[in-house]
Order: sequence, then structure tokens, then C-alpha cells
Amino acid sequence: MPTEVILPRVDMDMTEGMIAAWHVDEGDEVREGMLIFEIETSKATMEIDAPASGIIRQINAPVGESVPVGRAVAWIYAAGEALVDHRERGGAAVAGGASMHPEEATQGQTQTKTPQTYATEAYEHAAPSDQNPHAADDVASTDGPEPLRATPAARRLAREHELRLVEIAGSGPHGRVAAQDVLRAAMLEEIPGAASNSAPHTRLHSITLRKGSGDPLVLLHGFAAESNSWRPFSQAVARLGGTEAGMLAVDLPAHGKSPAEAAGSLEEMVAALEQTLLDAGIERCHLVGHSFGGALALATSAQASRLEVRSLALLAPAGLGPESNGAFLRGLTDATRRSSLVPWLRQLFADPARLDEGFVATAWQQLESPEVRERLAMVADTFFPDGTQMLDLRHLLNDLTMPVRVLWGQQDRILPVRHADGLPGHIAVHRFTGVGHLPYVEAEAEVARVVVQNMASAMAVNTSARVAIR
Amino acid sequence: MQEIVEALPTRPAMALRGVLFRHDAATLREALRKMILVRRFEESAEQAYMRGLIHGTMHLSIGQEASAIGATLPLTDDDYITSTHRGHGHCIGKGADPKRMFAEFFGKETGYCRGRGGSMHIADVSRGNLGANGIVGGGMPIAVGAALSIKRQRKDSVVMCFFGDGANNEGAFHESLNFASIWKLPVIFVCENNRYGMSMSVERSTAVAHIAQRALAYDMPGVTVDGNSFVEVLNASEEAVAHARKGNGPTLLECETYRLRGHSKSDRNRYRTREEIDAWSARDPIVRFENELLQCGLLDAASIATLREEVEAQIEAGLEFAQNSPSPARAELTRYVYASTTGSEQ
Amino acid sequence: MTADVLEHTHTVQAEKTHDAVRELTYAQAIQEAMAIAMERDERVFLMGEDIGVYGGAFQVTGDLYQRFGPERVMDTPISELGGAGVAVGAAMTGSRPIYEFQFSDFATLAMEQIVNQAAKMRFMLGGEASVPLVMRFPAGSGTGAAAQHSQSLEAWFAHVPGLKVVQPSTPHDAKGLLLAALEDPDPVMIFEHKLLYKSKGPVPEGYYTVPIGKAAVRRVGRDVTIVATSIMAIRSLEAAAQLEQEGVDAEVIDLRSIRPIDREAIIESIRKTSRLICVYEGVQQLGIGAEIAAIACESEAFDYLDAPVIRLGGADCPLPYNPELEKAAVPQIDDIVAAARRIVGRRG
Repeated sequence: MPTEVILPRVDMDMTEGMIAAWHVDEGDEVREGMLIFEIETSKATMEIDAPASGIIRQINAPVGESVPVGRAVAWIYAAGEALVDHRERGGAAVAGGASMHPEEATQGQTQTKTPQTYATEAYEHAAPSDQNPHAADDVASTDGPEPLRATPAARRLAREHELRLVEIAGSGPHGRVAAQDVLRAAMLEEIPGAASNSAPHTRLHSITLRKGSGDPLVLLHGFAAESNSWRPFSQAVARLGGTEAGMLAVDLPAHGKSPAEAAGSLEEMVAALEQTLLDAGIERCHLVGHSFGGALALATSAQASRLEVRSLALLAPAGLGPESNGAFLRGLTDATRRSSLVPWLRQLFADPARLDEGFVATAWQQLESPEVRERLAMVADTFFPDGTQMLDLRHLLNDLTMPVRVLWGQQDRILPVRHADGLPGHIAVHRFTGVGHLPYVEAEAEVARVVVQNMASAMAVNTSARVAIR
Repeated sequence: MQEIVEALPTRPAMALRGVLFRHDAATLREALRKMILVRRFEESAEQAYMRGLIHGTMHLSIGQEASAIGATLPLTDDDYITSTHRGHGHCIGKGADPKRMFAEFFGKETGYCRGRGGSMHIADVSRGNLGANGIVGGGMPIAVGAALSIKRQRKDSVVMCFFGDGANNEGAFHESLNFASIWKLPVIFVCENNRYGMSMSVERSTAVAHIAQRALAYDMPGVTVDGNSFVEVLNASEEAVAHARKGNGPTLLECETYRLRGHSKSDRNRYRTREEIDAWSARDPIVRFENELLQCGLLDAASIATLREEVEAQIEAGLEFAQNSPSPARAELTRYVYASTTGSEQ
Repeated sequence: MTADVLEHTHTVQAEKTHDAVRELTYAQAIQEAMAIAMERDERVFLMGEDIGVYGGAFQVTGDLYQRFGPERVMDTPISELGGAGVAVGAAMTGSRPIYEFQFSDFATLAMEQIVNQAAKMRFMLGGEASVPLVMRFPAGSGTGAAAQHSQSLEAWFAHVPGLKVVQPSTPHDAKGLLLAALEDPDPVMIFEHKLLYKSKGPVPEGYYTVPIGKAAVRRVGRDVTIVATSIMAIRSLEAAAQLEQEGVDAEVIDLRSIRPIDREAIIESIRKTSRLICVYEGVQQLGIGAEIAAIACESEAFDYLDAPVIRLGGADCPLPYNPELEKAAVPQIDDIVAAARRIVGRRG
């Protein structure tokens, strides 16, 4: 059976650690005792040696990512040994039923240590495990489906909440449904659908721009815009061919077809966005946010608890400074006719000639309705009263560990490009000359490329590659 | 018929009158009555059993009446006895009422053990009968414990501990005699040697010819008597009881007797001969005692006949009482397990 | 060994409301109980091997012989069957004996009197007799006494209707349970773990009892219920302290009474935590853990179980002599910690 390589506790009060550097690659041959990675601790960097000889595989902790103490960051296999699926299920799984008890490792074949014997059988991992003598018994016969496994507590809760156990995914061994699984399902059930009005579980409207595989790209538009504005950009991304990810654009609260609720605070908006994505079955995604949507994207990356943001690209985001073009915002929300809207729309572009009829038509379609304008005015008043940005999100950038890029047009007349100055060193900043507030329009192909590269960098670190930071 | 090896002196016959005249006629009449009662009780129980009225089995002491009644005569209600699975005679000797004994055999609520014990566990604790015991030798240490209580309570009561030849090879026998001796406790160990354990003869099972010889190993007096002679048994018992009451410690009293019936109701009697059984029948202790009483003029034939009638009536009444008594309620199954149920009910 | 045992629920019924509480060893607490009992009640006396001048194999009787004399503190020959029977007979006839077996393993020699006589006398006699007998047994392993002097046999006796079986884990309970046993009209067997004799804890002066049949919640917790007996209750508390550091909040129940068993305490705790670990020194198979687990499954606690029950009991072998093997043969603190981690679904 493969030997676990865990992130060990090296300090007394350590609960998690960060790998500072890998000294081996996926598939390398390692010798017991040789250096395989370094841990960054608050005190000093610690060198960690291989616990066994063999081939190191399934390295899954990228450099810079925080890992809880005791979690397996890789496995060492014997030559020719088949890979074991260690996919975690709700934290209950251990490779092959091995416990962390030190004596177990030496006790091997003998069964004298009965305190362990009975317990491990109940805690077998669902994955086919060659060293568990009862594995054959536990895999269901190939005829007929596996019987439903659920703990008594889960069954009781399912009864109480009038849920069907078969519809609930189980986190225990053999897919056993546990109480927490039922409770989670119950909570999701309680969340109203799109028609409901109760924040903070508001579901937002979204458009699937492209179906794909892996973690999708989620696009968040800016103030007074809506999801359709991403269409050309999404096609540019598709044309690049550098990613198979699906693309989803979400209407912000009070924008597009999303309900007006949850527009009262950034927290509400983050919660609504998170819930919307989870409901769509998305737990990991790449985020791109423009302007106000950028602020939402940034806040979500920092604060979402059940959503994992793999990479973040901020296009002229709000929230990085107090200045904004208040006149522009007022102009947008006050314009009662198309003709009084156009001059303000021109402000979005470095080159006003770039403003085409299609753009105007789309914008007017939204802003034509007084109710919409009123709603938007309220949002503006909440987040940009008197043209001052109330959101101060700069500090959130410091702790982000996923790849983050900030893209800004040098000629941005809505949110000043200088807000991109002085950002933390690990964040890449791209400044485009001749580009105004809409880099994804005015530098569509370049922005698409940067976004795709950003997404790729998130994926790359995950699968292997020594990233040596010296 | 076997030779009885003379290892210890027994009472010569001429002392018989002396013993008898130590007691008044009423007492001796009562003794005979009890012996007849035991006999008739056993025979009636046997009949009931054979008619299928009694559950389980029973161990009859027919032929051993002199031993039981002779030994228990000197006892009062303040004295204790422990008995064996073949203990109906001891129970009657200690004053048990046959009707409650019958009721117990029939498993009725009115029995001595409320139907929970059966033949092997008849007891009457309030009158000093600590119970018959189903484990061979089981009652012996308990008897010694009762004697310890007596000594601690500074009473002059005694404990009479009945057991058979089979028990004398159990560890409990040896441990009990040792305890009684080292602590000088008022116990009279009465061994009813009826020559057989179940099927194993005492000659084959026991290293010494007379069980009373073992008394030497425990530094106490050991006496062997003819267990079918009421007078001999009584005489030896009185001496042992007096010895104990004075605080001089235990005695081992061996009564050589014979059980005319098998060990239990399922005994096929394959281990002994018809001749042997017949020979001992001729030494019937009741017949012998009756003759002795007649010879000494202490009783006449008419009174003996009356006595027998009284016994018959008592037996009949007892059987009827038992048959008409209620059985225990099923709901009371676990009622007498504990004297007090503390904490959660089991 | 025991350090500070926090007693969240102990019942201390002191005769005087202001009884002083001081630290005694487990052995001293038992001695004190016997002394108090003998002073109050002349029916109480002690029997056992080497309990007189020698002071008892584990120095529990100590100087009681000097204080109470040979009629109250009676040395017996090496004669467990006879001695136990004498104690039964004495108990049936107005005495209150406390019989000390030198090692719990020697109960085997007295099985006849304990199981066939003491346990059944009351029932067989239709309630006409009772056997108020107390028997004390130094039990358990860890002293290198090997296979015949290290057993934990309480489960055998807990299987017999008519007996009562208790296992105090603290000096406070050792005294209180012994005094309770003396008040009890039924035969009570007290199994004392040898390694606990020197353990220390708070013990009130004067007379008090700990109720037979009531468990004690030694530590309140949310995440897992640990039901333990005797020294395992102490080890479970140590394990719980470690687990607290890892964010696992264990509830530790010291069963104290094996027969009768406190079903309610077990059920109530499982309803709260949904997870059960049984820790006991007796051989795991068919030991007290089986009864505790069965209670969980057959009661309303069943609907609250969210993980399979874990039993940690003695290994399936006689107790070995070698000290490492001896330790490996019974649950240790590490085993309890590991089991708790497993049952809450964590690793490491």
C-alpha cells in the first residue's frame, strides 16, 4: 500500500502549514530520508524528508497553499504499484483504513491489538483497498445496486425533514449518509428558488455563455451593465482555445434579471453569488469581475466559505480607492432618454469612436425603465454616494493565495488607473494604453489572453511542477 | 452385605435404654411420628411424581429417617441446619410443614420458596432452616458461616450441617471442616453415608474406610454410628450438640445408612444389587424404632396405629392444600432476584 | 497517575454538612470506609488472606487489625471457596462480612459460592433470605503480575442475576461505594484496579455513600461519548484533555456500576453526541462494552447514532508478563485518542 506523505506538525501550536518549495516532481523516484519539500512556518523553513522509498505521486499541495497539519500532500508508491483513489469524502476517508496510531504501523499481520481491529472494519474506505481483507465483502455484488447506507441519526433527520435519503449524497465510508449530509440537504432545501424574496439566500440570474469541463469561468459585469455584455468577450476566450472551461455570466443584484434584494451590502451580494453558484453545482471557479463586479469578485475571493476561487482577474475594479466618477454614475441613472445617455457612455472609452450603436442599444434597453434607473440609483447611493467609493477592499488582496491579476486601461475616466498602484507584490498588474474603462472591449484579445493565462497558472500549480522559489 | 470395618467405637446396644429413658414418652412419640411422616411424605411425593404431577425430579431419603430425625431432635428454632438435595427428612426434622413442602414441589406460590426453588432448595429461614442445597457440598461453608455469626453474636446456638458421602471428597468439605476447627465454631457436621454418591460407591470414591476418620485431619471429634438406629444417632447428636453449645467446637458425625430408592427418579439402579437393597430393607429404621419403643414400654401398638393415621391425614391434607394452591404469576418472574433494586432496573 | 479528576456530578452525602474534604489515596479511602463501617455497626467484620498483621496484600486493611482486633479483622487460610461460603453463611445469619479476595483472579476458586449460592439464595428461597455480603477484588493488569493475577473478570459476574458489581475509579467513589455496598442487602462485588490504589483524590471525612447503579459524567462534551470503567475512566479523561487541543470535545462517563448499569446516562449522552466509544479493561469480546453498545442500539439512542460504535477492550490473549506486551494488551490513552479521532472523522 502507498505510504502517505503528510504535512507534519513541526511546531507545538501548529495547525496548518504552507509548502514553501517542492524538491521533487510528480513521478520522481525518492529514497527514504531524502529531502522532498520545505514547509514555511512562522519560525523558520523546515525541511521534510521522504518517509519511504518509491515513486512519489499524487502531489496535491501547491506551493503557497495552506494545508492542514496531517493532511496527505502526496503518496509514495512501490514500483509498479497501482494508484489508489484517495479522493476525500467529507473528511472521513483514510487511505486503506490506516489510522494515525503509531503502533498500528508495526503491528502488521498480528491481530493482538484488538482495540484497533474492530474499529477499522467500520471505518473502511470506500476505495478498493488491496490490504483490507474484507474489501471483497464490502464491494457490492455486481448484480443489482448498492443498498442505501445511512446512519440511524441520518435516517431520523431525513424523516423529520421529509427528505429522501436516496437523493442525499453520503460523506461516510461506502457512501454512507451521515447526519451532516442530511442537514446540509435540508438547508439547501430551505433556500428558496429564484422566485423567493428572502435575502441573504437570493438566487441571482445567470447566463451560460459556454458549456465546458473542469472549473468554470464566472464573469461579473459592472455597474449598470448586465451579463450579455460579456458575450463578445466570451467568444474571444473561446477563440483562443487555451481552456476548456465553461463560462457563466451572473447578473448582479438589482441588475439584469436578478432580483433587487441582496443589493444592500457587499456581504449580501457575496452570499447571493456564492449561493447561486453552489446551487448550480459549482464549488470551484475562476472569477473575472469588471468595475463594480470586480469589487464583488474580490470580496468573494476573500470571503466565500464554500466556494473555492481558483484564479481572479479584476478589470478596473471598484474598491481600491475612494475616487470614482460620480458625474458618470449620476448621468447614467438620471438619463431619461437615449440621447442623454450617450455622452456618458462615451466616457467609458478611451476612443469615443469605439462606442457603437449596438453598445448604446444594449445599454438603453436596460436603463430605459425608470424602475431600473431608480434601483440602480439606490445601488449607486449605497456604494458610491456622491461619487465616493464606500468600498475599501484593498486589504483583501494581501491574503489571496490564488493567482490574481489586475487589468486597467490607462485612459480610464470612471475609476482611476492609479488605483492599481501600490498593490501587493504577488499581484500582477496589467496597464493598457489607449484603453478606457472597458478593457475587455477595447483590448478584447489581450485581456482574453491574460485571463486564460491566469486560469492556466492556477491549474498548473495544482498538478505538479516544481516551483522553486529561492 | 459388606463388612463394616471397626475403626471407631460405636455405642453398645445396652446403652439403648439409657438413651431412651433420658427423654419423655411424648418426645419419643413425636420422634416416631416424624419418622413416619418423613416416610409417608417421601412415598406420597413419589406417587405424585409418578403420576406426572411434579416437575423436574426428586431425591428420596426413604430408609434414612432415623438419621434425619435422630440428628435433629436436640435442635431448637434458634439453631440452624443446612441440608442437601436429599433433605426432605432434615426439613421435617427441623419442623417444616409438609403441606408447604408439597406446595413447593408442585411449584406453587404457597410453597416454602414460593415455587421458585423446588425440591432441592426447601428452606424455612425464620425457623433456622437455611435451606437444602443443589450443589454437593454447597451448604457446608454456609453452615460454617452461620456458626461464625452465632459466635460473633455470643449465642449458644449451633448449626447442624447435613451432607452425604459424595460431598466428603469436595474441596468445600475440607475447607469447611478446617475453618470450623481453626475458629472453633459450633457446627455439627452430619454425614449421611448411604454408601453411594450417585452411582459411585463410597469404597471406590473415598480414600478412608470411614468418613469420620477425616475428623482427625481437622482436629475434631469423629464418630461413626449406625444411621438406621434412631437411638444411636440421637445419642451421638446430643453429645455433639452439647459439645458445640459449650463452645468446644465442631464434631464430625457419620451415620451409616442406606437409601432404598435410587439417587433420583431417573436412577436405574444399575450400580447395586437387588440383594443389597433387600438386605437393607430388612433393617428398616422405622420398624426398628417402633420395636424398641414397644420393647421398652414407651409406646403401645394402639398409639402407634393412631400415629400412623394422624400422619395419613396430615399427608392427605397437605397434598390437597398443595394442589389447590395458586401458581406464581408470570409478571413476578424477576421479583425476588434482589432485596433492593438501586439505580436502573435491569 | 490520576492527577486531577474533575467530578462534574458526584453525589456526596455527608452526614455532617461541613465535613472536611482532604486528599487520600484510593487504598486509604477504602480503609477509612471499613473503619467507619466497623465503628458504626458491630455486625461488620473483615475476612481475607493476610489482611491482619500483614495489612493486606495491597496494604488496604493497613492497621485495621491493630485498631479492631482479630475478631473484626480475620485472617483466613488460603481457602477461597470455603471462605466465601463462610461469608455467605454469615451474611445470611445477621452478620455483615467484607471478604477481601487477594486477587480478582481467585474469584474462580469461589465461583460456586458466589454464583450458585450468594447470587441465587434469595431467589431460590422465594425471597425468604438475603445475602448482604460485600466482596472486594484487587483487579487488572499493569504490575507485571502476569496471566493469573491480572484479570478483569467483572463481566462474568455482571452476567449473573442476583449479584451487584461496581468499579470505583476514584478514592471518593471507592469509599462511597463500599459504604453503599454495606447498606445494600444484596451481594455486592467491588472490583478495584490495582494501579489505582496509590492514586489520590479528594475524600470527605465522615459517612457518605455513592449510589450503586448511577454513572458519573466526569467531563461534559459534545462530540463523542466515551463510556469507561475503572482505570479506563481515568485514561479517558486524559485522552479527553488531549482531544480538546485538537478541537474534539469528548464527554466521559464513568460507569461506576456494571450491574445494575445506568442505561439512562448512556442513552442521554448519545442523544447529545451521536457517537459512542466504550473503554474497558476486560477482554473486548463479550465484555461490558458489548452491553453498552447493545444499550445504544436497542434504546432510543439508536436514532441518534451517527457512526458505528467503537469498543476498546482488552486484547484476546491472557495478560502477558513482558511490560510492553502487557501495556499493548489493554487500552491506553493513545488508543482512546485515536478512536475518538476516527469516530469524529478526522485523521492524524
